[in-house]
Amino acid sequence: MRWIKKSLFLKLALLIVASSGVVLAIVMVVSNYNLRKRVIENQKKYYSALSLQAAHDINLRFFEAKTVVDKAVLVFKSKAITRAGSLNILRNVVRENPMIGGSAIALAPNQNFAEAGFQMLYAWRENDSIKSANRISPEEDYKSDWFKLPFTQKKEVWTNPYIDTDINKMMVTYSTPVIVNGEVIAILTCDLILDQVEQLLSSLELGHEGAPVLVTNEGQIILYPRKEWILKETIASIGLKLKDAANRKTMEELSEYLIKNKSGFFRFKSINSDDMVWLYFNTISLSDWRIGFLIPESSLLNPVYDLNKKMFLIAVLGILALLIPAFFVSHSITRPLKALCNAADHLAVGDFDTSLPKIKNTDEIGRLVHDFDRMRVDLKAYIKTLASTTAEKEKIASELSIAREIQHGILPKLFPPFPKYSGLDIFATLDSAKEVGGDLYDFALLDNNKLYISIGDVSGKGVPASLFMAVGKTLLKSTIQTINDPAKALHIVNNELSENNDACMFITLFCGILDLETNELLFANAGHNPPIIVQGENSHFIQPAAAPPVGALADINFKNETLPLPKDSMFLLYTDGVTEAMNESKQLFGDNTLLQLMQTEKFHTAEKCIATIKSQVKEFVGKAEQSDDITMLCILNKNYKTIESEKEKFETSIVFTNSKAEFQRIASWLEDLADKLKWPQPFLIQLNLALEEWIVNVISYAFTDNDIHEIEVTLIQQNNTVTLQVTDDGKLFDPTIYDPADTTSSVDERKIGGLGIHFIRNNVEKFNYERKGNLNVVRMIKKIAT
Amino acid sequence: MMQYKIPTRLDAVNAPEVEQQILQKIEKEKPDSVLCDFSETVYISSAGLRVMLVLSKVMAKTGGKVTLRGMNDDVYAIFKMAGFQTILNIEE
Repeated sequence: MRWIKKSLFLKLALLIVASSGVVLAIVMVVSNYNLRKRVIENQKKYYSALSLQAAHDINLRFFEAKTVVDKAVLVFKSKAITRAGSLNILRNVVRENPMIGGSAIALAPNQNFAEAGFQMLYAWRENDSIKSANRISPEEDYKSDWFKLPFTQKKEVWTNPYIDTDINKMMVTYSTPVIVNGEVIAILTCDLILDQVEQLLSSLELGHEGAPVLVTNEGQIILYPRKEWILKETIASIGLKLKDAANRKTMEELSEYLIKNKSGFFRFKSINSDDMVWLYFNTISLSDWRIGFLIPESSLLNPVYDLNKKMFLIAVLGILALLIPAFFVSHSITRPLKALCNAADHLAVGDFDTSLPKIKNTDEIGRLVHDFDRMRVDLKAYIKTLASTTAEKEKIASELSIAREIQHGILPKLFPPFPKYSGLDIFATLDSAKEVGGDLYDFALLDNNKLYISIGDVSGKGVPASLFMAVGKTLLKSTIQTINDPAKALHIVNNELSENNDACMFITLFCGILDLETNELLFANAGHNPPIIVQGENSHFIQPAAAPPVGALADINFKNETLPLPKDSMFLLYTDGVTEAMNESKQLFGDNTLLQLMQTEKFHTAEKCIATIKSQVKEFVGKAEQSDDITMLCILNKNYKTIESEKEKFETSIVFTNSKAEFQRIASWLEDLADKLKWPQPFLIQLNLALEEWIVNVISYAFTDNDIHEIEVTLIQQNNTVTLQVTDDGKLFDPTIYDPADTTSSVDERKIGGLGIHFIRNNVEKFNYERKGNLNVVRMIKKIAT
Repeated sequence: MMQYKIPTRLDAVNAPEVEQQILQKIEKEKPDSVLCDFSETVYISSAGLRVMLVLSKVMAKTGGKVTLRGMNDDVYAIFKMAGFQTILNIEE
């Protein structure tokens, strides 16, 4: 029955029908039971009434006959007894009542028959006339019941029925005594023909199995379907003849009941079959006969059976008819459910435009469909939003990484930045947290031997901070270039930044101008961390005048201060990303740790100083996430003023176009130079490798249009150091940020390509990149080994 | 065994051409091993190393051997720089 299990429609429909069927069945059974009782009651009443009615009818006839006789008695008593007179009386009696077959007068034995003129007279109906005669054997008559009983009992008597052999009909005689002075002088009789009674009884509607029964008050059978028993048997005698003990008992009880009771009903098992039979009876009061009806129970219950059949038929038809609304209801429920199921399948694969059935009703199903549809619409909108949000996020992520490249690109990163000033050792670094940082540093050579340096920290992180930082840096640099006055520059920048600063961001800034001739630093500080100066054994924090950061409030006046940076002194600018670097235990690196580090280590170069601090901070922080940008700028005075003499400097340059055909010019150009400058072969090869890698990379990837671009290569050799600078106007590409290639994996694992940058790094000592406007500037420095 | 003489320079200029030549030769001769002769080579750049890597991968598919022979010190140094000395079969 699996097909039922799978279909809600069928389940529902069958459930409706089945439960209705059960209810119907119960109703039927109960009503059947009630009905049966009612029917039996009714039948009882009916047959009781019928038997009563029949008894009354017969009784009435008897009464009519009796009345005639009783009247005749009075007439007889009123006159003298004469033969003629008596005959007359008799004739009248017979004539008056068609039921009377005959009438007799029998004088008592002690009467004077001669005087009367007769002993016994008898009148009878024969065909259409009435005949009369003397009784033939009066002695016999005196012995018979119709004389003896009333004579001795001095009261009227109804005899037992008998068959009159003359007319061959069943008769019963009514005898009544004529009592004069307390003595019975004569007996008057009438013989009633019982065929009218038979007719009456047989005309009754007893059903085709019902039978009328007429018995005397002693159980003698007068009328019964079994004609052989009539007048010959009594109920009791029949019973005695039966073989079956139970049947015998039944008859015994029946006989007893009939005799004892004047009316009632008796239910017994038929002696002929296993069916039950009912006997309803009443009494004909005059003759004290029992008149009854034998009805088999089955026909008694016929109406019930009939009704059962009808009810069953109706029930079956009803249930079949019920299937229609049941299917209809079931369908109305399962159709939307199926549609919902379908729609859910569609939704699951992302089709949000699937249509739902239109349901007008507001019941649970209607609400379900409605809610489902709402959910579908919501899902659709949600997914759409999600998709666009994800796209946005990815866009932002990629924009962030571009922003990082741009931001890093605008910081001066070429070191050494001023080869002319070989006594000026300057190095700076910025490690940003969270992609784009809010720190900045800057330095630039101003006119007339002045070096501008600055360091700053924007409040906040991420894109907003970096944008603010970019603005601040640019503004400061351009201001300082025109106004060589740190305090004034800060004042101007502050006013600019604090205007329209709705986000209320600010930058702590340290800004200074180092005079390379006088070794004096002119500086102004806006809320930034105090720099450190190391002079010989001494190292301490500089304490600039207190001032607020730039950008918060307008119209602040900053103060210019001076600080000598003599030869061999080291000056360190940093941001709080260094001193407030936090490890997993939430401890800070600390100002003092930094100072200690500067004190104890003897750094020979600015780069070494910064590298050491960086590694110390990294070690301290451990596994904790970098929470802030780590920025440092360090200056070591190795006699700034020393400007390398122009002699012994060799400079040359060449321009390549961005075509692969130019590759071979690289090698030949370098070969010529190697020849001229007497480079050792290994040096030439290594320099060739580095330069080739970079040029090939630029030509291959830097240009996205189909135009011709120029790549300028400048070579400077001084003091056994070769500096190669390659400038192109291609798209921004910072090779220094890429991971070193994997040189340890197997043939299968090794990716083809990616070796270029590795080659460059391995072949030159310094490899720097800077984005200048729309130009990529790459610098490689290699020392000729001596 | 297939033999191939590597030119004096194997760099960005001629690497694509050399790669094509070698691969075509392999497809024609279907050798079970390849010998690259570096005796005249003075310079190889990353482009050239790439050719050697491609060659090794192609031969590895059929289970063939690749031998590089006759490098001078400078060239060997370049292979070493890229870490190729461990993955390629370099003989004296």
